[in-house]
Amino acid sequence: MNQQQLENASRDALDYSVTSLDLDTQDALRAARLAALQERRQNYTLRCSGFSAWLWSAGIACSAWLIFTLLPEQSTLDFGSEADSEAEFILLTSLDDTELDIVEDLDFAYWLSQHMETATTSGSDHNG
Amino acid sequence: MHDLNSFLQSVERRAFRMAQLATQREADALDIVQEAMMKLACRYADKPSEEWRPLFYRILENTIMDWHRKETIKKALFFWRKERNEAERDTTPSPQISHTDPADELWTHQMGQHLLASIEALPVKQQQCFVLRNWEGMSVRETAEIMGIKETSVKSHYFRAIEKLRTQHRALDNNAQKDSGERLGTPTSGTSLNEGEPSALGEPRP
Repeated sequence: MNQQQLENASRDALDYSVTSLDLDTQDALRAARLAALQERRQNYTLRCSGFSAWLWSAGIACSAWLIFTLLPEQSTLDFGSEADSEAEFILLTSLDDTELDIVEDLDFAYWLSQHMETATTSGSDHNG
Repeated sequence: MHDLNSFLQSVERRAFRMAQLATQREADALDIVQEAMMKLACRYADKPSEEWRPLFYRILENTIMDWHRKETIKKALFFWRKERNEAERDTTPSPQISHTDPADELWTHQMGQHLLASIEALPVKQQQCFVLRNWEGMSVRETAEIMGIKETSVKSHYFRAIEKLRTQHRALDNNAQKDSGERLGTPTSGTSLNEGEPSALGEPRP
């Protein structure tokens, strides 16, 4: 018997031994399979319930954090911003056009002032 | 879930047979298969279904190896219970093969039993390697991944297993040759049952 024949014969013997399993063993295997699937279902349910519990906890924690930290700040900001806007309105109405341009473009004003300072310094150096 | 059920149904008997070959005890084999099913169902059922087969066999293989380690420890600790443990072992169930010719049936039955007994007697690594490669049709690479060993080790285990089975088969052939010689009252030297006789399980021999 060469290797191929030995392999075939072994395979056939194993196949026959599987088909000839007694009914008790087959029932036991079926029960084992169902138990595994049941375990899987329970695990899935537990995982889902665990996840939902975790989700609820996280939601409540976030809400509490929002209520106790963000909302008070938001309210003071609101009040402050309302007052600021009124003051700003008064200030802007009192400014002339050049001053209004400067206020509206503070970056440019800052750059301009820097540029003026440099120009003044270099002019004084030349004069000196 | 239905797919997983179908998958487990398709592998449960073969897995049981593998575990039974390795443990030689039906109850332990059932426990091993159940444990493997549980692990697959609980931990890896979310994986794509094409990954289930290698995963299942890897779990099964690991569970069998764990069983063997425990058994080795048990044997070392309770060495005086060796005889009892041997007695606990189940005998290999004989494959039910139906043939019309009684002589052929007897030969096939003997050969099937002998082959199963020979596979059962292999060292566990060689046995698992042989079963995975030959019976489950897995490649060397797949077998190596499942068994957690190198591909060269798989080849080596497989080669050794084949050699042992061949030696066992030769011994059976020689015994059969002697028996037939005694029955017929003819000298047995120089003749072999390999020529012109039906091979194992009804296959024609070259």
